[in-house]
Amino acid sequence: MHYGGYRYTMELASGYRMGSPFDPDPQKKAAADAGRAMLDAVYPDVWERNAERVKRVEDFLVASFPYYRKGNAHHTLDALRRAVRNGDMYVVEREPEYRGGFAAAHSRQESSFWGVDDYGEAPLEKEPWPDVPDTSTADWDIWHDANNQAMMHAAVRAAPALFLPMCAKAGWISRYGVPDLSEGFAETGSTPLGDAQPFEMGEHMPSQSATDMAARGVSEGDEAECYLQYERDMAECRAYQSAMGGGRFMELCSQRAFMAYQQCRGY
Amino acid sequence: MPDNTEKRCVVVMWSEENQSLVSYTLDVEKVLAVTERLFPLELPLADYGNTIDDEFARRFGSATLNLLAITNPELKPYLKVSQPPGAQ
Repeated sequence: MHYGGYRYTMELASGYRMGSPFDPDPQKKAAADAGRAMLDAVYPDVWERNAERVKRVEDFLVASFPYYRKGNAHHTLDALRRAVRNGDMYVVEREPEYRGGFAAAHSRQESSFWGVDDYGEAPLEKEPWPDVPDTSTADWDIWHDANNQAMMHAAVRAAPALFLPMCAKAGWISRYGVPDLSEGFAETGSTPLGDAQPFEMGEHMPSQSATDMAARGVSEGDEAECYLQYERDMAECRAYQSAMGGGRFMELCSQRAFMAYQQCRGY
Repeated sequence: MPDNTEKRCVVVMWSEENQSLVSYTLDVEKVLAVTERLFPLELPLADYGNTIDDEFARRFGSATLNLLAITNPELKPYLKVSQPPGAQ
């Protein structure tokens, strides 16, 4: 599957050969950790609506685990998360083809979630409007990289489970990297996923964000709805941008969309 | 002589039934009550040389049609507007 500019594959623990638990292959472990973090951070209910992806997960589970019993989409993705948590299998992050960098050794036993290997054809990643070279957008991007990174890293550190999927979808993780989520970490700038040790999502993260969500008075369903609204708003920004150009318009539009998203989520 | 003092705004719709673009005007007051919580796409004229010229009008029309096409995919096959290179 493709998610946030990365491709992920499902691998059986026996087929992935990460090495001994005490001395794992660092690159393979990093790729598996990143995949697990992605899995922890996505909205389950959004994923459950993607029938094709659920089917791929189900097919993999049926083929890999003889004791697996089919169920609804929620059951399927829950089983996937459990299998990953138990170390029976890995969701492995693969370096996108266009970026170079390290590529984890290819395992024979792999299956793509999406079955789409062309990044350009991944759903939601492509707008129906023609791609037009837009120098003003490039200028804007450079101008605001520093701001965006600071804002994104602060947001991700405050609520990783909620912001990681959003930033990934916006392509910000591949652009700006992720902040170190361990406590007492002093930010030293960009840590692109390509060459950095991926962060660990500790066991305490989900419950923490759940408490946080409860304090703000929003449910997981609300969060997902806010995120869908954010995507709708950004699609409108892009539709406008393709005719009006980037520059200040796109800057204001994305800021506004982000603020609306924050407001929706009770911040 | 109709009363033209009340400010009105324009709403553009795609009518699938008539294969037509349909515009309405509505009282600004009424629209503001509805749009209060909606997501605005704002174009400060200062960013475009404080001029609504041919080029601006062309882009603005195109932007509006793009926007309409997001949720009215039937409109897309009709859209043959070229997007400006390096638009600013």
